[in-house]
This record gives sequence, structure tokens and C-alpha cells, in this order.
Amino acid sequence: MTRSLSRRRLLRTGTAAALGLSLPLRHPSAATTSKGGILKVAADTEPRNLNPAIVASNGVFFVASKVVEPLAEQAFAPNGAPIGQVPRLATGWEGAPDGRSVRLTLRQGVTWHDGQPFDSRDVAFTALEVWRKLQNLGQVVFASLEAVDTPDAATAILRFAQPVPFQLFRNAMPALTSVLPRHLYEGGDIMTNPANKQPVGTGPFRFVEHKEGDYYRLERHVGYWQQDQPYLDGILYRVLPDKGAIAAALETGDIDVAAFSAVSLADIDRLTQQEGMQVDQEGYEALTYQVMIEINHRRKELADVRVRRAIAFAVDRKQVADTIFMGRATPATGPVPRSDAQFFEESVPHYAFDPAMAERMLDEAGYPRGADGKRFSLSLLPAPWFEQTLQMGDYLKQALARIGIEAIITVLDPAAHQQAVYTDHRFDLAIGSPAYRNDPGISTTILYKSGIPAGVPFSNQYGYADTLMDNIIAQAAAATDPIMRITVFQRFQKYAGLQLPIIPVVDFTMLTTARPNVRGIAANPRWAVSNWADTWLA
Amino acid sequence: MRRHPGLIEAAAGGAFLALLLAMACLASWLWPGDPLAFVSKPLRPPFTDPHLPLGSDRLGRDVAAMLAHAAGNTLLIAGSATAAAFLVGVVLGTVAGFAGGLLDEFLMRIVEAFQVIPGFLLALALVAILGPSLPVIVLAIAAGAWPAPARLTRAEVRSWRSREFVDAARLLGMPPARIAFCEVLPNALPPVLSLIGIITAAAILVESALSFLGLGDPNRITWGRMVADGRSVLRSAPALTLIPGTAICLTVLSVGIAGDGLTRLLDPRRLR
Repeated sequence: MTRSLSRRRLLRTGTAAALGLSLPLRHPSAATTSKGGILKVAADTEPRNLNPAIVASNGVFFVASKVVEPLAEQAFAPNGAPIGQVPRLATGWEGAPDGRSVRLTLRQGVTWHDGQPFDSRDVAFTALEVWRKLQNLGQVVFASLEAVDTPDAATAILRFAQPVPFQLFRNAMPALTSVLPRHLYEGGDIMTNPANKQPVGTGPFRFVEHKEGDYYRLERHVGYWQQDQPYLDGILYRVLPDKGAIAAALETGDIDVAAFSAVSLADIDRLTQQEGMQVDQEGYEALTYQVMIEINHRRKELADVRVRRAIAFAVDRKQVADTIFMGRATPATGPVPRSDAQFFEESVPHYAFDPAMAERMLDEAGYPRGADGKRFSLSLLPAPWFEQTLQMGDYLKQALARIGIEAIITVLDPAAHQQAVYTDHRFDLAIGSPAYRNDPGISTTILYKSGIPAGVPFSNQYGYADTLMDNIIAQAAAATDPIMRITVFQRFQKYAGLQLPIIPVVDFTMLTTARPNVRGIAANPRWAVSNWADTWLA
Repeated sequence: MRRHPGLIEAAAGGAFLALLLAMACLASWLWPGDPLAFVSKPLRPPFTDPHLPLGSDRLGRDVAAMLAHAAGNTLLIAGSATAAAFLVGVVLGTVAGFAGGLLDEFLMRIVEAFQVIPGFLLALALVAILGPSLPVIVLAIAAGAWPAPARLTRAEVRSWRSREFVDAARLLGMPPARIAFCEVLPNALPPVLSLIGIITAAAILVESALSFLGLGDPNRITWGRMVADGRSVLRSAPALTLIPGTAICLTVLSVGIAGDGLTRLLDPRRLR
């Protein structure tokens, strides 16, 4: 572990110093890279819809980001902070001071995998028809997108009815702006287009096939716009849902890379003992998750802020980080993870572990322990997608029992869990794991703002409605001045800590485990969901 | 000993089960509180700490406490499911065998409908639809287990119902239901009871398999769930899988042996 970290730290600072670049994308120099080979990767989930413009989620990006490219990618700044974007399909971006338009300069000479040329009309079509209307995250960020002008093949101008902060647009580019081929999508039903399962893009790899329960296969795109890239001949994703099997496959060399902590944290220490096995915490700086206690405010007891604060005091965040995450997580203080230096606010209400205080607050709130020692009973639905969310459910049940609240756990399958929590609201407490995407405006404020229709997943389906909170979020959405915007988001974090509509527990990122011969891993802050054009096998 | 073949097996199996039952009863006295509480550092190996004789699991829970509490849950679920399967099977089998005719045909078709679906798949489907909770899991296991005692009871009852003592009871004016359940059934029952071992063993396995697949009651600890939790760290901490796995294995084995011994003790040919 230390070996791989220091190697890359050196590499990064070295390149930056030597070349004086402001945003060094660490392309290994041609002399040291070797071309060819198939990278075998463990896939622990198997999304059916591989269209990243519709489903902007890490599970889809993991495969599809190699095929379908966004306008820009996140890149490390010289000091290692995950800040700044580097060009992909757009080579330049410029926001109007009033926030009502963004001018994009597009890369020229790019072809789709089927040989058609890429131009500004593809961007216009995808923005208007897909990002704005169909995409889970785009429906928020691009809600006021009115029109896209295409004065020439290399220019697209996005026009907004309401001002959209350019800072938000820039931060949203890597995840929200995958561009689809207009010539394959125009005129038909986008949701049922065969290219959703058989994606066609401009990326370094061409989609070959998906064999259900078995593998996804990608092949090198010979005409990729970045000369000499990709280095690999192809990528094979082997579907391996079992963590134990993934660890074994890594050891035997059946797979080369397991990303997104697909190897059990308990196995990591053993794997690092193996000669040269790389375990990497980097490459996820822009992919932070939070373990979150989701609260249904329709339940009378939980609508009382004193009860919510009592629950926050009952949770030992450090124990959660040390036990469930085996030290690979940070106690969370608010809705913005500490890793985001730009927006993170330290001076928010802190809820240090104090069960006695929690009990006092519950007594004051009028919920004394009954004859059986219980105050009241709640249902608890841990999200089934991560091992850790399920384990957090087990932990919270114990933590609540200690302060006299009984929690009955129900574990549902992923589809039923989404339905129960985000559509039917059949829960009292739930454990969620929202992803934080570089900017609170992308997927964080949606957890706090009211008036979202039932059925929108990973949004405020908690029955929480507060006028001041809604005002703060509206202010942030309209703040075109970056400094002003940061100030508003600091207020947002303080108020969220005071109100505690949902309770952030820990910030966590993922781990990549790779065999010794894999090079160019963790090369950018969204590495696992980036295009892997500069990954190679030694 | 030769006068009582099967006695040794029945006694050995029974003794282990008695031990298990004692452990289940003493669990909440020896390890009070919730066995799922996080009490120590995660992944303590077994036999290193006197307070945690079997070590701790991935989340720092006491493996010994979980094992003991799980014994009770496993026995409760398997025992209730077996009892339910026998109750339904024996009653329907007696009715079908004694009444005969259309009612027999009808009941036997229902039995066959259940028999064509593999018991485990039926249990999976029921738990997936109704949601995992103790009564549902008992029902799901019993639903796949009742046809065997039903068919055997029916066959036995049919062979007994035309004996002279039945005719005599009829002549005395006994109501048919009373003849069936008070006169015929006690004679027909011994061979059916020999199924107890097989069905209980199968129930323990089905329950463990359901828990292993994450379809057990998440609020209760069972051995199957311990195996499932331990599986992700199989290579780093094999004891977490081996300990509950051994418990399942020994229990199923002892139930099987005890049932086998019981069958031979109750063998009608020997009694005759």
C-alpha cells in the first residue's frame, strides 16, 4: 500500500514540477508504456441499461465510461486536490457572466464507433432530449435549459431560462454530460433504443458484447482521437458477484483489477502481503459516498428535531469507521464530505457520541422508557447495495437499543428497497449511501429540498419540508458568483446540521486492488469511472 | 442391546440434541443481552481471549454468544416447521386414507401439486413474497415438508382401516372421525413418526440455506446467517464460516442418527 502511494505521489509531483503544468494528466511517457493486452476486471453488479447519459450512476459508468465520453473529465491539481477539469469531447468552455449561457468549443475530427462524424448537433440533441428530460441528475442541473445553438460543427451554446452557476456546470461536466450519437437516437423512443444495451460512443473502447451473468467485452477503438491511445487491446469485465471469489480470482490472476472495493475490506490486509499487489485508495477523490441515516418525518416521533438529535448523539461515528469500514472511512460532520476542500464547512453543529445526552434529550422530548425499557419502536431499512450499508443497519439497531429505541430491521432487494423508501415511504429509518459529486448542487441539495414528487430515487422522500432550507437551496441555485455560492453552501451545511433532517454518519471512498503489472491506475480523481485510455499492462 | 436395535444411535443423537437444547436455553443466561451487539475489536481469532472463547466476527460480535443464541433460533424454527408439517400432513393423510373416494382423490392431487415443486424453491418463493419473519419462515419450510407425512399416513391408514377392530368400532356406533383419529391413527402412526428425523434435518438445512441467501429474519441470528456473514472473509478468518458450518453439520447428523435409531426402535416388525 505505502509503496504504491508513494510511487504515485512522486510521479505526480515530479511531472507537475518538471513540466510546469497546471493540470497534469499523468500520461506515462511513450518510452515506458507497453501496448496491448486485455485488462480483466471484476464487475460485482451487472447493469442492464448501459446508457450513461440516462443513468448517471457509478455502476453504469464503470463499464460505459470507456465507450461513451463526457465533455470533460475531472483531473488532479498539482497539489493532488481533485479540482479542475480537462478536455474530453469539449476543448473549451466559457460561461456568460449572467449565468444564462455556456459556450462550448468541441473537439474536431472525432468519429463515433460506427464511423459517423461527431459534431455540435450531437451535443445539442443529447442536452435537450436526454440530459434535461431523462437523466436522473440532469433533470435538476439542466432543468432550465431552453435551447442549444449550433452556429458551426465545433460550437454549441447552451441557453438557460434561469441563471445556472458556471461553477456548477463545470463541476457537473464529468458525470452529467455523456454525449450520445444523434444519428442513432433521433426520431425513436430513447428509453427503448437498442444502443442503451449496446452503447455506441466516441471513447477509447468499442462495446462488443454483454453475455448475461458472464461478462462485458470492450475492444480498442482504432480511430480514437487521442493518438496512440488506448494502450490496451481491450477490457473484459467478468461478472463476479461474490467478494470471496473476486479476491481469489485476483490472486490467481483470473482478473487484474477489482475496483469499487469489490474485495472485502477484511481481505485487503492479506492481499497486500502478496508480492506487488497494489491497493489504492486514490482515484476516488471525486467519488465520495456518505453513509446516511434517512429519516421519515411523517412519523410523529421523528418529526421532532430533539429525537433526531438524540439519534445523532447515539451513533459512535468513530466506531462505525473503525469497525464496519476497518478504518477506511472518516466520521462525517455534514452533507458535504471533508474531502471537498472547496465547499466543506467545519463549523457546523457536531454530535459527538454521547448516549447519556441522547437519553436526556429523549426524556425531554416526552418519550420516557416504558416498563419494558423501550421508548418506541421503529422500522429500519438498510439499503442492500453495499455490504457496509447492511452492516450499518445492524450497528444502528444496537446503538438505538442502547438508548431505549427498538428498531426492527427489514432487508429488501434493491428494487423493492427503492420502491419502499423513495416511492411508498414505507419506512421509519433507512440507511442510504448517497454519492457526493464534487458540488452540493448536483446530488446533495436534492436530499434536503421539499416538493419533489414521490418516486424520484435518492431525493428528499423523507417528508421534510422547511421554508428556510428551501430558500437557502434556491439562493445557491441562483448564485452565479462562485464565492457567493460557496458562502451560501456554508450556510446550507450549518442549517442542515441544526435541523438534521437526515444524519450523515461517515464519508467513505472506495479501494482499487490491482495485480502488480497494471499501470496507470488512480490517474484521475474519478479513475474507476473514467475512460482508462492511459491504463496499460507491464 | 440386541433386543433394542437402534437404541445406541437414538441415544447418541438424542444426547447431542439435548446438549444443544440446554445450550439454547442457557444462552440468554450465559450471554445476556443481544448477541448481535458489537462488543470487541473485529476479527479476533478464536481461543485467544477468555472473554471471547470463539473470537469475534467481522463487526466485533461475540461468536460464542451468536452460536449459542442461534442454536435456539435454529431449533425453534426447525422444530416448529416440523411440527406444523406433521400436524397438517397427518390430519390430511388420515382423512384421505380413511374416507377414500373423491375426497381422497382431491386431497392427493393437492399433495401432488406440492410435491412437484422442489421444497427449497417453494420456501424461497414464499419468503421472497411474504417477507422474512419467523412465522413466514416456519410456514415456508413446512409447506415443502408436509406431503411426505401426508402420503405415508394415508397409506398406513388405508392398510389399517379394513381390520376387524375397525368394523367392530363401526358396529358399536362410533362416529367415523373418532374411529379414524382414535382407533386407526394410533396404529398407523409409528412408521410415520420415523420421518421426524428426516424432516427436522431437512428443515434445519432449508432454514440455514434461506439465511445464507439473506432471506432469514435479519433481526435474529442463525447459523446460516453466520456462515453467510463469514463467507466474505473466508480466506482471512475461516473460523467464522467453519464454526457455524460445523454446528449445522453436527446437528443435522445427530438429528438424522437419532431419527434412524428411533425408526428401528419403533419398527413394527420387531414390535410384532
